[in-house]
This record gives sequence, structure tokens and C-alpha cells, in this order.
Amino acid sequence: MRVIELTAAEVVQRIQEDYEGELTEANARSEAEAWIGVPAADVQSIARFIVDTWHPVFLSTITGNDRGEEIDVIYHFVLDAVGLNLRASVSKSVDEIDTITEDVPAAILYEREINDMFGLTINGHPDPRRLVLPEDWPEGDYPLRRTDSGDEEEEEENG
Amino acid sequence: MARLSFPVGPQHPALKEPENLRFSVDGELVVEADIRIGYVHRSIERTCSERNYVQDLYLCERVCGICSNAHTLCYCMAVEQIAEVEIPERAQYIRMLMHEFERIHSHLLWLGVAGHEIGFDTLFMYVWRDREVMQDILETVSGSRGHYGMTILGGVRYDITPEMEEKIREGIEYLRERTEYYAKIATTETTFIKRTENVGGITGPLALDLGAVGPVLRASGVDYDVRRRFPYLKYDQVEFEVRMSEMADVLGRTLVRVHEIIDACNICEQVLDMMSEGEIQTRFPRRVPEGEAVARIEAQRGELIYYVRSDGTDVPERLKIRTPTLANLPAAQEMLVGGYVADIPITFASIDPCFSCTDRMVVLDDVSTSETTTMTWSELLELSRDR
Repeated sequence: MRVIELTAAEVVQRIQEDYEGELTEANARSEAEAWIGVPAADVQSIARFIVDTWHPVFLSTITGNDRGEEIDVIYHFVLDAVGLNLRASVSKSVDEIDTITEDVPAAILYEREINDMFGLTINGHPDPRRLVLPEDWPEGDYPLRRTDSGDEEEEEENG
Repeated sequence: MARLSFPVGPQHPALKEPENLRFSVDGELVVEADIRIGYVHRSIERTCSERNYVQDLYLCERVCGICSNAHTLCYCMAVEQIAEVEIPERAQYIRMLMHEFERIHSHLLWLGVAGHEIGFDTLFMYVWRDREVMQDILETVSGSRGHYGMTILGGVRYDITPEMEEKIREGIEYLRERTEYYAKIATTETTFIKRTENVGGITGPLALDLGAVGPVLRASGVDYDVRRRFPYLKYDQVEFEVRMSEMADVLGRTLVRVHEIIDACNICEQVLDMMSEGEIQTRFPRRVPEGEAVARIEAQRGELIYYVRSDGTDVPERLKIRTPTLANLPAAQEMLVGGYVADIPITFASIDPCFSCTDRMVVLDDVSTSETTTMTWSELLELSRDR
């Protein structure tokens, strides 16, 4: 990675100016931390934009978070000395997201993990096998996906 | 020639943890490698979102036995960022000391294991003997050799007394001298070089693309050290070099780690010189305001990242951990392909893999019927007491 003086504000500004798609959020929380949001259908185009603009970029990981009606998928990139967090919220009625492995090969395991844990289908993933769950784990049971009944029951049991 | 496929593991392939590697070989050459993880998945991320912040601190420490302090440090940094709590200066220095102590003991442990993997058990014995010096320091400071419990929300648990400082300085000096000797062995001892040079190679751009971290990435010539790139604690105030190597093989990774031990010794001394008297803890609220934070640190195995989202209660809504070993797996797969069968153990060990870190979630599952069994809290208690 090149070491040039890049700040989060510059990253956000560049995306706002040059990226042609829609942005749902765009702010620099500090000099080294930028947050960008895009509609879930646009992850491939924004990932390509990021890689083309700041090549080479490093992907730290992908976080999934079940927010009830939708699942947040957050891609944590590193560009020089800026952590760029890209959020895409996937509605549970859609329940799928495109792979970014073509532009960001590092996403390969993290996307499998998201699929395992949240049951999001990753469209176009080159190796869509399970990552952490065993082969005989029941289909349709996703450990980090919240269901109304499941959570309540568990709370009672845990007292 | 016909290709042969065979499994290695899940019972400790090259290390004392369960993991399954599947290889296709053509004679002595590995043509395909696949890694299957998940054998020690313990539900830590999910459990964290059902426990309060203090309980989670203890749970995160137990993600890993070797980098336990790195996990509490990263966790606390994320949660403190949301709560906007600034910890006292002295606590920051003590956290740095613990962070570097852990790097020293972990890299020494790795060097011993590497020696063992290539049949150089003398090196293993010597290195592990010396590692005890660091273990003694850790025990003196924290009271424990493994899970130190030093980093807590709002600061650190124990202070460093002048007697401890003396012991630390003595130990550090001894370890630096010994490590310099090991650096000499790694660069001059033919047995060592023959087994590690040009073994398990991966180029820098490929390693970066695959998301490799830590010494694996730096040994391929990529300049990424979180301590330098995103300075935390007081890392912007100490002098150290980001150790890199252009060799991109097991030997390169060994040299990067060995030099990082020497650097860590230097950092510890600088920190001890800079430390001023003062408080080591500050009050931390029980409830954390709504928000989210990402924290990164350079753990000994590479970049460790935590994402925490809070909803204003005393329990986090979501806690996500990505450990260095998971990030290094695609690179490890790449290193194994094209190598010899005999080099599998050292190549795989060269990423310093840790699977309890990687998995973090267990499954209570009846294998014969594929049904998930949910245990109640009382059943779980009973099970643990029976054992």
C-alpha cells in the first residue's frame, strides 16, 4: 500500500463527487474513519469504484448485523491511513446481495460467513460452501439471524 | 500420474488445535489445498449480545489463549470509543506494555513451534526456556500466565510497581540478547535456512488482495502495521520500525517475527522511561449510549478488528470479531499449493494459525439426526458441573 496523506474527509468528498450511484450516508467521523452507505443492489459498483480509485485497497472484514426488518452488511476497507466503512442494508424480503469477490478477492471467506450466519444469499459467489457451520447443520437455521419467537424463548431460559 | 487426495486433521494438523486440511497431490507436489474450519466454534459473538459489557470483557478475553490481552484491548477500545471515555495516561502506557509483552511471548512461542515443525527441537527447547522469562514477567504483573485480566473498561486493573519495573527491565534485556542470537541462527544456520528459504511463498500484491495480515503480509513486503497506520494508545510517541522482508517465504516470516521481538523489547523500555505516575482507572458507565464503533489493533498475528454496535442499554446489540488467522487462511491456501508434502506443516505453521480465535462458535447438535438441540441454562450448568 502506498503511504500518502489521505484523510477520511477527502475519501468521502471524492465518493460524493465522482461516484455516480445513490448514497444513503456519507460522513467522516474522524480524520481516519469514513462511513458510506449505498443501496444493497449497488455494492458491486461501489466496490469497483473504491478499488479503481484507490488501488490497492485492503478489506479487513465484513460485518453482518440483523436490525430486525433488514440486515446491515458493513464492509471495512483500509485505504492508506483511512478506514472506510461501507454499509449496505439488505431488506429481509430481498434476502440477497451481490458478491464483491471479483474486485475484492479478500471477501471470499467473509461473504461465506455472512451466508452461514444470516442466511443472506450471495449472488455470484465463486465458492458458496459453508464456512463455520458443520455440514449436517439444518438448512434454514441461521445462528445470528433474529427471529421473533427464537429470541424471546431464549431470554426466558437464560433468566 | 494419478492424483491422490487425502485429509490432514481435524486432529491437530501441524498444531494442537482441530482443523481439517484437504490436499490433492501429484507425487510429492501439492496441487490443491482446501481448509475446513469451524471445529471449535463457540458462539461467542452471539453470546456477547446476550451479556452485559462487563461480562463480555471476560468472554472476549477467552476468544484466544495466546492473544487474550489483544482481544480485551480491542474490545475496550471499541466500547470506550462509543461511550466517549478517555482513559488515564498511565493506563495507556500499561496497556501498551501488556500489548508488547504479549507480542514477545507469542512470537517466541511461534519460533519454538517453527523449530519443532522442521525437526529442530534444540531451537524449540531453548526458545521455550527463554519464553519463561516473559511468562514470569506477565505473572508478576497480572498474577496470571494466560488470561491476564489486566485490561478493563476504563483502564487497567493493576499498576506497575517499582519492583516490577526492575524485573521487567532485567527480563527485557535478557530476552533481547537471546533474540539477537536467534536472529543470527535464522540467518546463518544451514539446517534452518534449507527448510525455510523459498518455502511457502506468496507475493505481496497477492497477499494483500487475499486480505492477509500481520507478519505474513509484511514478510511479503507490504507495509501495513496498524500501530503505524492507525496509531492507538501512545504508539505515535515511541520509535519502532515496521519490520518487512522481501523474501516472501517462511524464512522471511521468521525474520519479521524475530525482529519484532527485539522491537517490542525496545518499545517496552521506551514506555517504562516515559511513564509518569497517575491514575490507572476511570469510572466507566454501566450503560453505553447508542452508537457504533470499529476498533483495529496490531495483535501479534496481525490486524485484529472489532465492530461494536450499542443500543443504549448495558448489553451490546452486536459485537463482531475478525481475528488475524481467518484473514490469513486464503493466503495460507495459496502458499501450500505448489509446495512439497513435507513442507505442509511448516508452511501452515508460518501463518501462526490459531483456530479457537478463528471459529468462536459451538454447535449443540445431534449429529446422527441433524437436529439442533437447544440447551437450557440449567442444563448447561449441570453439564459443566458434571464434568
